[in-house]
This record gives sequence, C-alpha cells and structure tokens, in this order.
Amino acid sequence: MSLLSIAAFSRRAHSGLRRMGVATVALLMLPLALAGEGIHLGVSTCANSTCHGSKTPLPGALVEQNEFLVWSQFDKHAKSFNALKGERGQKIAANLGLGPAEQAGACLSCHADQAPASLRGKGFSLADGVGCEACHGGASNWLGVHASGVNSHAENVAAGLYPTDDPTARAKLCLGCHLFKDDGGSQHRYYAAGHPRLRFELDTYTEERPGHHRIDADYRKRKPGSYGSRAWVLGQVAASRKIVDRLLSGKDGALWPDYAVFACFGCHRRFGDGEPGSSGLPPLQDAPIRLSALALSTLGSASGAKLDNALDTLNQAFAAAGSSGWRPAAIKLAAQLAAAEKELRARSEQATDAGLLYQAVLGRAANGQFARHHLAEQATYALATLRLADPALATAGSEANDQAMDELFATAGMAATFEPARWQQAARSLASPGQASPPSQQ
Amino acid sequence: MRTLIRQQASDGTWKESPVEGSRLTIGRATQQGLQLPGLMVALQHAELQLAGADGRYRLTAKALTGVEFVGRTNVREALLKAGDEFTLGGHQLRIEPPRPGFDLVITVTLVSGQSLARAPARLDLDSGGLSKRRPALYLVALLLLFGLLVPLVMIAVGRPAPLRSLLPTDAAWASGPVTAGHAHFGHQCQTCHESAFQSIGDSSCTACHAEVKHHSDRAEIVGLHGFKDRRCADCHQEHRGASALIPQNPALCTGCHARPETLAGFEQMPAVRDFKREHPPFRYTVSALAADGSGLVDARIGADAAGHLQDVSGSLFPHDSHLAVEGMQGPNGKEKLVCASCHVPDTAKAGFLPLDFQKHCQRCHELKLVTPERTLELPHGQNEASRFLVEHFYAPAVRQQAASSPPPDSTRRRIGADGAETPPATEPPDAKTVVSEVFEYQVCGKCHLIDNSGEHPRVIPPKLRQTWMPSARFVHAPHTAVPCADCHQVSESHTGSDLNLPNIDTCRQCHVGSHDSEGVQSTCVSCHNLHLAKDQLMSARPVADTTPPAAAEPP
Repeated sequence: MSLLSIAAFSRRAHSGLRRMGVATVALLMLPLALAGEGIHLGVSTCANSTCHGSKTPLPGALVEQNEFLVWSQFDKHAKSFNALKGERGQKIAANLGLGPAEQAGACLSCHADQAPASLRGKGFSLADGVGCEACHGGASNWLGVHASGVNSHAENVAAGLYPTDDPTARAKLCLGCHLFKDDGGSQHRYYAAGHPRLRFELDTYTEERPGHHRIDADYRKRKPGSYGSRAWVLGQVAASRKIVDRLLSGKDGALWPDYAVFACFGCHRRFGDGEPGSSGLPPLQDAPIRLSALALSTLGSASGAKLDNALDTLNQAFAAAGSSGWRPAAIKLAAQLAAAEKELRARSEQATDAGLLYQAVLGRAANGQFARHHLAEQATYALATLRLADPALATAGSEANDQAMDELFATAGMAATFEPARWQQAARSLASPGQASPPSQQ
Repeated sequence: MRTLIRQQASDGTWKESPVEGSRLTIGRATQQGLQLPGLMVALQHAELQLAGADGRYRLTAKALTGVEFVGRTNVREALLKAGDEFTLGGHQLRIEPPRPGFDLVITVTLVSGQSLARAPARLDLDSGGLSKRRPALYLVALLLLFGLLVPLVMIAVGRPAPLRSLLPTDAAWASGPVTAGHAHFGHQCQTCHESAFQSIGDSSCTACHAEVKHHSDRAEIVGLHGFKDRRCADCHQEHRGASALIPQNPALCTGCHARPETLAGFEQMPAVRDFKREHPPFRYTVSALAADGSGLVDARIGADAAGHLQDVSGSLFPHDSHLAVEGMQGPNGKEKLVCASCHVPDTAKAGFLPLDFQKHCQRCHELKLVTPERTLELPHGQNEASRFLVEHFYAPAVRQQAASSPPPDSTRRRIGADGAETPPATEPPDAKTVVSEVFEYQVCGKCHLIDNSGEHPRVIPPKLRQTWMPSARFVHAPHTAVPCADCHQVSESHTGSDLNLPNIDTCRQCHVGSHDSEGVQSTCVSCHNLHLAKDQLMSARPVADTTPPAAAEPP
C-alpha cells in the first residue's frame, strides 16, 4: 500500500469514523464513504518547540513532547527520502527504469509522504521523508481539535487523526509499505531491482524504531489493547489478509500473481538445498496465516482449525498442476481471515493470553514445524514479542534464555543459508533451558 | 533736383518735407520720393523731372493707369508748369511756383478736398452709436444703486419683508464660497489671486502644495492626453462650495479612459466608462516567491479561474484555525479570537495598524527553546542573532543530551543479517543540523517561509502589505456596518498566502456608477487618486519632453 493509498485509506477511515462516532468499530467499515482528507501541513507544523519539538516535556504534558527530535534523530522514517538519493536507491530506480529515485512516484509513495499536490500545505516537503502526517494523516482538519488540548483521542480520531493506536488500523498502515504497496503491481520487480526484502511484525516494528512515544502505565490505561499479544495476533491476521489479497489481485505479467506472495527462499536457493517438505512448487508466504491459525486454536477458537484447513486446501490447489482451482480456495481463505480478524478484535488484551500463545509457538518451534525460513522468521518475532508481553515471562528471563533468543535471531538472520535444524535446536533450548545446551555460536 | 513736398497732416496742419534726387518718383512703394497711400496708387506710379531751364517739368506715368490731367484720364506723358494740377489714385498734386533753393514745390491733397485726418470708413462701436462709455456709466450707476445705496439704506431702515426676496444680497458680490480647506485664508484674496483680473496660475497652487505628486512618473503620460497644457484650476475649481475642489465628474476621466484605443501607447488599457457598467476586474499588487526561493518579489495579479488570489506574504498564518468557532488553545486555556484581536483600526479608521509580533503573536508563539539548563527565547526578526543563540547555547545542549543518553531504549530487535539493515543513527547532530531543525521545524518554520538557498537557513522577512491596490483607496470607516466576513472570507483560509480581498462583484453589490441610481453612486475619484506619481511633483511641471534624455547628452 503506497502512502498515497494510505492517504486514501485513512480518508475512508476518517469519514467512517465520523459517521460511526466510535473509532474502533468504525475501522472495520473502511472502504465505504469518501470525504475530503486533510491537507498535509508539513513536519514543521507539528515540530514547534511548544508542541512536539521540545527538548523537555512541558508542564502537564501526557507525552514526551520530544517526538519530533526522536523522529528526526533516530527514526529511519526521517531518512527515508535521503535513502532514495543514496547509491543503492539510485541503482534500484535505474534498474527499474524510473529515473532519479527521489523523483519517482513509485519510490516516493513509500519513501516520503506522497500526498496529492492539492493536499500539500505551505510547509510540506517531500524531503521530510515519512513525516508525521504520512502516518497520522493530513492535519488540516484535526490539528485544531488536537492542539486545543481539550478533546479526547476519540474526538481527535473523529476529526481525522489516523487511529494508530488500533492494532488493525496500524497494521494496515504499516503493511502498505512494509509488506506490499497497494498498487496491485509486482512487488517482486522491486526485489529483482535490488530493493531489500520486506518483512514485518507489527508489535516488534512498532517498538523497535525507536518509538517516539513512551509506553507507561498511563499510556496503557489510555490505549488498552494497542500493544503486546493483541497487537501481535491482529498484526498476523492483517498480514495474512494482505498476502491473500495480494495473491488475488497482484500481477506479475499477465497471468501470474505477484511472485512476492511466495516465500523468497522457496525459489531463490542453491540447487540441492530443497527445504524439508518442499513439493517443488513455490511455497506461499503463509507464516502469518499459520501463526494466526495457531493463535486462534490456542485461544480455544474453532476458527483456527478452519483457517489451517483453508490454507491446506489452497496449497493443495497450487500443487494440482495446471489447475486454476487455487482462486476459489484463496477467496474462501480471505473470507475466513476476515471473520478471524473480527473474532480476534473482539478479544481484550487479557483474553489474548501472551503466555499461552508463547508456549504454543514455542512448542511447534521445538517440534520442528517452522522449518522453512519465512516460518522461522515470523516465529522468532512471535517468541520475542509474546515473551515480553507476558508479565511472568518478561521478568523471568535468564542468561540461558537470552542466549537461546540470540541464537534464534542469529539463525533466522542467515536467510540465504538458513539451517532449520540449528534454529529448532535454539527453540528447544528456549523451551527447556536446563536440558538442552545451546548450540555453539560458531 | 531738390523738391519740397507739402502735405496736410491729419490735424489739418501743413507739413513740408524736402526730397533730393535726379527726379521725383511718385508711388505707394516706400522707396518712392513721394509716397502716397491708397490701393489705387501703383507701387511706382509716375515720375517728375525738369524739362529744360524754362521752369517746365516732364511728367511720365509709370503705371498702366496713368494720371488725370486737364480733364483727361490715363495721360502717359505731359509737360507741366507752375499752377498745373494732376490727379493720381485719388490724390491731387499741384505744381507750386518755385521757391528759393528748390527746383520743384508740389502740394498734395485728396481729390475730394477732404483732410487726410479723417478715415474713409468707421468700423468701431462708437461709429455705430454703441459707445461703451454710456452703458458703462449706466451700469456703474445701477451697481452703486443696488450694490451700495440700497444696502446702505437697508442697513439704516431694515429690509422690508415684502421686498426681501427681490432685493439683492451679498451673494451678488461674492464669487462663491471657498473650499473648506482654503477657508482659513479669509479675505486674503491675494493668497491665490496674484494679480487682479487674471486667472490663477499653477504657481499659486504649488506655492503651498509643492509636494503634491504629479499624475504619473511617466513623461509620456504626463506630457500627453490633456495633462500637459492644463492649469491646476482647470480641474480643481475654487469658489464652488465647501468640497468642490476635488472634481467628481467622471467625464473628466472617462473622456479619455472610455476610449483608450484612441490614445497612442495606451491601446491595451481596459476601457472604463462606469463602475457598474464598464470597469475592468480588480488587479492586485502581491508578493511571490523569487525563483531561487531567496526572498519575495512584487507581482501584479488578477484572480485565477477559481477566483482565488495568492499573495505569498511569507507568513503561513492560517486564518481558519485561529478563528475557529470552538476557540483555540491559548497559554491560559481556550480563547476565542476575532478579527479585531489582531486587526486594530488606525486612527482614521481607514485601514489597520501594522500587525506586531510582540502584541499579537508572542503570547502563544513564544519562540522558546528549552534545555535542562536554560530557556532560550529567540529574538524575533533577527536571523543572525537567533542562529548565534542556537549554535552556541542550544546545539551544545542537544549534542550533550544525545551523547549522554543513547536513543530511547528499545527491548526489540530486528532480524537483520542479510545486509539490508543499517544501525540507527546515533551520532549526535552537529550545530548546523540543529540550526536547520530549529529554523525549519521547531521554531521559525512554524509561521515563516525559510530560505535555504544560502549557507544558513534564514527566515524570509514577510511582506505584510498595508494595501494591495495602490491605485485605489479604500476607507474602512464608512463600511463598518458590514461584517468583516462579508468581504473577507477567511474562515476557509488555511494559509497566509491566501489574499482574502473582495473582487469587483463584491463591491458592486452596493456600489454603482454615476449612470445608475439603484445603489451607492460612485465616481472615479470615490476610489482613485489621480496624483499617483512616486517621484514627480506637480511643482516640477511640465515633464512634457518625451524624447529620451540619453539621446540629447553628448557622448
């Protein structure tokens, strides 16, 4: 999803919110109404020293107020435009035949806040990269409501502020650049031209930037269910939906879906390195779907098994050579994912037990069921996220655990030369730190 | 031959004048010995000379008409002796007996016998019986009667009521009330009337109004089209009432401006006939960002297709959020701003006092930079000083804080061993970066356009104009009954580059020209001044020379 589409998406979201008046419910009603999105006023509008550009919090402030400084100094979003001007950016654009990357709409749609020309205010600059309004929405309609300091977050959202506190909305926003651009074209072409492979896990990526917000008790009280296990599982479902939607809509040439919906290392590997269980066909990038199904089953929902079955049906349809039967299977899977999302959104953070989910993922990991790289990668993120989200696990860390976690990350990081056995071994030592000795760090 | 000519003067006395020459030439021409007036006299009509020694003279006619002699006309030649007479072009010439010292004595009289003192025809009034003297005397008597005697009598006896309307008043003497502005001259007529019974010259006006601007700085305008040979008083007529000095008659302007196509060099000007019926849309002098982004330049624009006017004032002030009906967050809570919160009428209520940062903005926009050690308040309007403060007092604090506290800690990490990831920037920002952030984002760029074309970022000084229509004048005072928003639609304006001025249609909702009556009748000078020059003064008239001065200068 390009930022342009984010804008379009948020526009729909905003108007929906206005109509419904309730942010979280309205988010499911996204693609319907259309209303004017606000003008993007530019980073300088937010970064004033009396607003979000202060070195120290102002009296009575709920937030740090140094958000701009954190963004500009530490957040790579602030440097995304300049990345286009770098050697790699120029080379990718040249390979794609786009001319200078910093002028190419296909690049700017994610590397900058590519608001339409009519929605660019005086202080707006593409060179600011992914600035405040790229995610929080063009501010002209909600800035007054927000800056007045007397309105609630829900009122700000009703006026047009993008509800980034909602995990599903946040996931859709992020995935639009961090998994697939929403232009229906081929993401695979970007990879082929040299763009880094995109992967995403909502809760990790939300917190890792470093975040320009501080999650404290007050924050958790104001934004319940925004982070932790609930964010993780809703992020998995959103990514799943994104992948299946891409399978149904993306194009790589006239006939084929966007190759980027398949796991990269299903095809891109040395001869003879066949992944275990390989059918010889490109495997769908289905890690988020498997993990969503696992989460649902673990939480006692029958939807989990249904999801697994639907995914199996889709994979079998792929395997049936010459068949176009995969499409109905994919449509069915998409419908089940939508239902699963609705079901999971209804759960509170407490009803999405991080400890339970952690043990379930870890069980499968130790069991060798995440033997493909893309599965191991998402499972690694899942374990790290869920471990931190569970209060008991988060505080019960040991050196052995940390070592095992390091090993999981290191092994998952060696994408092209992924060793499933080594990763499984690390998972085992995490599951029972006393019994299995961690493998050597070579 | 010496000749004595005897002629009777207009007063009847005889004049005798001697003439030398071998002969006496007679004619109308000036070199003739005997010059005779009258169209019947040829330039060289005849000659007389001695014929032998016996006192006879030979007359030779030079003109075709000859002379009359002894009852015969057109005599070409004759021998004359003393006592003979001949006639020539209405003049009778008689040969007199010789006198000592003179060879010839000749007497000239008119044929009719009348004296030369009386002209043959009278064309003046007197000769028609219309002498001026008599009516003048009657008039003086009449004036004395009604202008002096009757008033004197009335002073003594009072004005009888039945006759009051018939009797003359002082108005009969006065030439009309003086303009309010000149009333303080009182009875010192010579202030303007330098010499009696002569029209007022421009010097009388410019003696006081030396600084009055000319109608244009352009010589080709001032030198042409009716400006050149006019006196001030031709347009600005005194003694016509308290405010008559400013001519209101639109015809004075539209006489030329309705037909610009007839004026050389002004063919492209839009025609103006009447404010309501024929007047071009307003044009505005605004600012635009220079091509290199380093400052603002003047531009002259009309409204675009959507009716929008853009004036890049350099200020980003959004009217809509400041005037939001629900109010705006101020330092002491929510406050509701209105137009008059910032736009304070000037003394004359014509326009508004200049906006002032300290008065109108600073209460909320403090320009503060807070560090753990100190609070810096940047000096408004001073690029260099502000940069100095940021470089020397704020940037070190930012660097120190960045160095002492690593980026906000995160317990998260990415899987990243395939070279795609780079570690987040942890290098503390240098002073230049901090200055740039303060100017562009944290402080200045909030309200101002920033010029990044130079070595350091710089606030482009905004140009908040007092007027955008320098050729017209608008006075707010008579319009106070109209709400501001009727003409200035600022509630939808979210950038300081919107020029929220009305167009001509807004004005026409109330104002009409002099040809209509269903509205406020407005003439050219209701809005326009004519003395528009910047440098050229009326006292320096004329600037009529349209030849380029460079051509006249020596190399």
